[in-house]
Amino acid sequence: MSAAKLEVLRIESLRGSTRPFELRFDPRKRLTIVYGENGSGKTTICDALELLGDGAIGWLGSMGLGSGVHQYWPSVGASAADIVVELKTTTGSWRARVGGRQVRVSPPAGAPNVRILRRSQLLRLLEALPSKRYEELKRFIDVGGVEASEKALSDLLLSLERQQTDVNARLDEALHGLEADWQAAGNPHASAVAWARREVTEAATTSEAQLKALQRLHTAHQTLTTYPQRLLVAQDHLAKSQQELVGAEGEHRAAVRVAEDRADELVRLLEAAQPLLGTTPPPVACPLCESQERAAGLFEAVRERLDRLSSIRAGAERVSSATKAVEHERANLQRLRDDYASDAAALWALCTSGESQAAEELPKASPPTALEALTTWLDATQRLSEAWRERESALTGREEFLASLRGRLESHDKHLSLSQSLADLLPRAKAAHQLVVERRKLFTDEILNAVSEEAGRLYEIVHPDEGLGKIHLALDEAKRASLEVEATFGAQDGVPPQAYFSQSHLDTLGLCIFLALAKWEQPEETILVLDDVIGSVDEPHVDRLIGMVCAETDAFQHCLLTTHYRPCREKLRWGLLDVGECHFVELARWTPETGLQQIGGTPDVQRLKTLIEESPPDLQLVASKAGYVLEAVLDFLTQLYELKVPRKQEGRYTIGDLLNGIDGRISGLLRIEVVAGGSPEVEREIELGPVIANLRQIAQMRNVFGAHFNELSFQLLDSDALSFGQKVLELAEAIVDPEFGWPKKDRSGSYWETVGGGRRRLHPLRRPAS
Amino acid sequence: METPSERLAELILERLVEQGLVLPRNTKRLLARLAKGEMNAQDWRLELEKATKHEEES
Repeated sequence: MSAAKLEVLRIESLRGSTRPFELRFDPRKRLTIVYGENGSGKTTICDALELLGDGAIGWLGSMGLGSGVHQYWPSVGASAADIVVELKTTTGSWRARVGGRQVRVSPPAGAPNVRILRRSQLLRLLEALPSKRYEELKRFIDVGGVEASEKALSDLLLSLERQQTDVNARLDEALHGLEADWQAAGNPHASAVAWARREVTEAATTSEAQLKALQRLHTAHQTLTTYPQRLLVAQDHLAKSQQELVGAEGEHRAAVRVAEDRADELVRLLEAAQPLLGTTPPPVACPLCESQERAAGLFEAVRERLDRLSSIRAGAERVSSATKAVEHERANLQRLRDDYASDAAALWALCTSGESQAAEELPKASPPTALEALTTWLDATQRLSEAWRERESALTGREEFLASLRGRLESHDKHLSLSQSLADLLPRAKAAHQLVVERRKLFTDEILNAVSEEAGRLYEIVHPDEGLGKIHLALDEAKRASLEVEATFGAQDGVPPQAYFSQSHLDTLGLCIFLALAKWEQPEETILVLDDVIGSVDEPHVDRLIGMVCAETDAFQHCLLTTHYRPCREKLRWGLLDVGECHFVELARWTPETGLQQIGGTPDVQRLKTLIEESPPDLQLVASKAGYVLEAVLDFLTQLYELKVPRKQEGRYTIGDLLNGIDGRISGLLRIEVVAGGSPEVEREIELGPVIANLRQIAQMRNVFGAHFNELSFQLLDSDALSFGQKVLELAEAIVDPEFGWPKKDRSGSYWETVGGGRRRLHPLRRPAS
Repeated sequence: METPSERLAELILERLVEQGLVLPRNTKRLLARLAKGEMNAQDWRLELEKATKHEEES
């Protein structure tokens, strides 16, 4: 596998990292187990990787902190701008910084792909509603984009089907209309469509101009018909006005005769003088003779005389008015004659211009010049006007029929063409839609089936022969984005695991499903982060679970597993877990002052060596640690070979009990072969019998120096205690490989060997028969 | 890294082209739109009509 190896993760001002923290990875190992008690900062390391890979810290978002969750990313007292997460690998280095709510990773290309599973997610994977479960897993199986495009295709299909129904209905409608017309026409030609096409293309067409000429002809004739009556009215008005004038003139002459001589002129003179006399102040002299005599009261005198002459004045006004009326009526009559002449000329122009070809008959003579002769002419031409009207109506009806026929034919042709296009398009749209739907289901089913199978395989590793498994994942097609999980429980298939499985089994199942999904998506480019996911797994299964996780790590670029499970730490320190090549990191308890702190995870064998090498050595610590390590070695050997030890409550065996269990027959056969890494060659052999025999002689050093205060130790040499420590170290280093732990695998069939290539081989495979 | 939608879109377009429902020269452009859910009904219609026209002409 050529994926880049992780070298160092640097974290500043993120969550618990109140001080800069560096996690250096072992480049030879693909699995890093981070152990720490609660509150040691394990999750901060996971947060850092998630920030780098996903640009957010997902679990905080589900803690009810609202939309401003990013404000809780920095360490206490730091700001978002202070946050730095940097991951260095063998191929590059990526750094995440926070600006506002945005996380910027530079360089953006090739940024690490991180898949993270936390304890809280684990619960949601199985316990949540199917839709929530889908949310947790959708990044692996979400094809929402394609589903949206599929929906658009489905919409098109529905739309085309509706169009086809509509087009066919319109086509039928047009065809029925044409057939009705065709039948009304007596079924000429072979079909309604052929007949209609011929009708609209070959039938003589009447121009709009001809129809309008007929309309104008008829209107012009109708206009002339109004003139005789209008002539009578005008003549009558003239006669009456003339009569009125004659009467007025007579009455006026009679009034003048009875009045003083030249009364008429006098009235006009007085009327002219009245305004001159009515001024204020009144004139001091007569304006006509300039005499000042009797000037006073002259105005009143003129008014009295005018009053007396008023009938003459009224008669004059009536004559004037009657004269104007006569002139007016004469003018009206003349205008009528002029209008007639014009309208008559217009009608005759229509008749003679050639525009009125549509009229089958026209007047033979023009309208008479004299209006008085019009009635005779109108009587002679009235039937022609009616004929023009009928002709116009008939032509208009024909045009409307042809327009209707043309419309139906056009509708028929248009919808026939559309129907043919849809007939081509619709099957293609159906085929495309069916293909997309089938492919999408197949794609998702393939993923889910493969993931189900893989999850079942992983689950079987952790829970062998328990009759639980046969995982089945399926998307609910009716609900979309809804993931169903079924499993086998006992002999019953297809049960919801939430209903029957224990919490521990559910957690394991969730982890197996997550791992199977993560493996599906380019795992060799994926950093897998499992944050505290083994906390609730019960003791009998935890070793197998960790073993399974470690074995699956090979598929990924790297795997980081955090745990606060203490037995896990102890077993790892003693190499009792089959974890292969694992990098073990232990965190100290976190404080705001220290931030995250890595502490030495030194195994006890290494610690013993260090104690022996100290100058001067602390004999009590050397003897104590040596006794502790010796107990572990003897416990391992007696269990491996099923040797006899005294049965005690809670298995509290002394070193003496355990040493006595390794009797002479097995002791003489115990032998270690040390094999160089990557080579089948045996580098050296170590006989364990002499070492154990020696230890049997000096084992009391543990109690004398290491276990209790007693004066006996004063009488012994320092080298006695050191010798005990060195012999225990010799035995432990012979048996325990510093990387791969204890030789517990019997797959060779002839010896026990360590995992990871069998760098320690312990002989014999079985204790000799007694 | 390819998303599940992108992988599925590739498979779908491959089959659509095989069946003559989409023109091969358009697949590169269609791939991203199909995967991102950006194909609307008119886009589908256009692509299907283009393929139909091409088939009729050839």
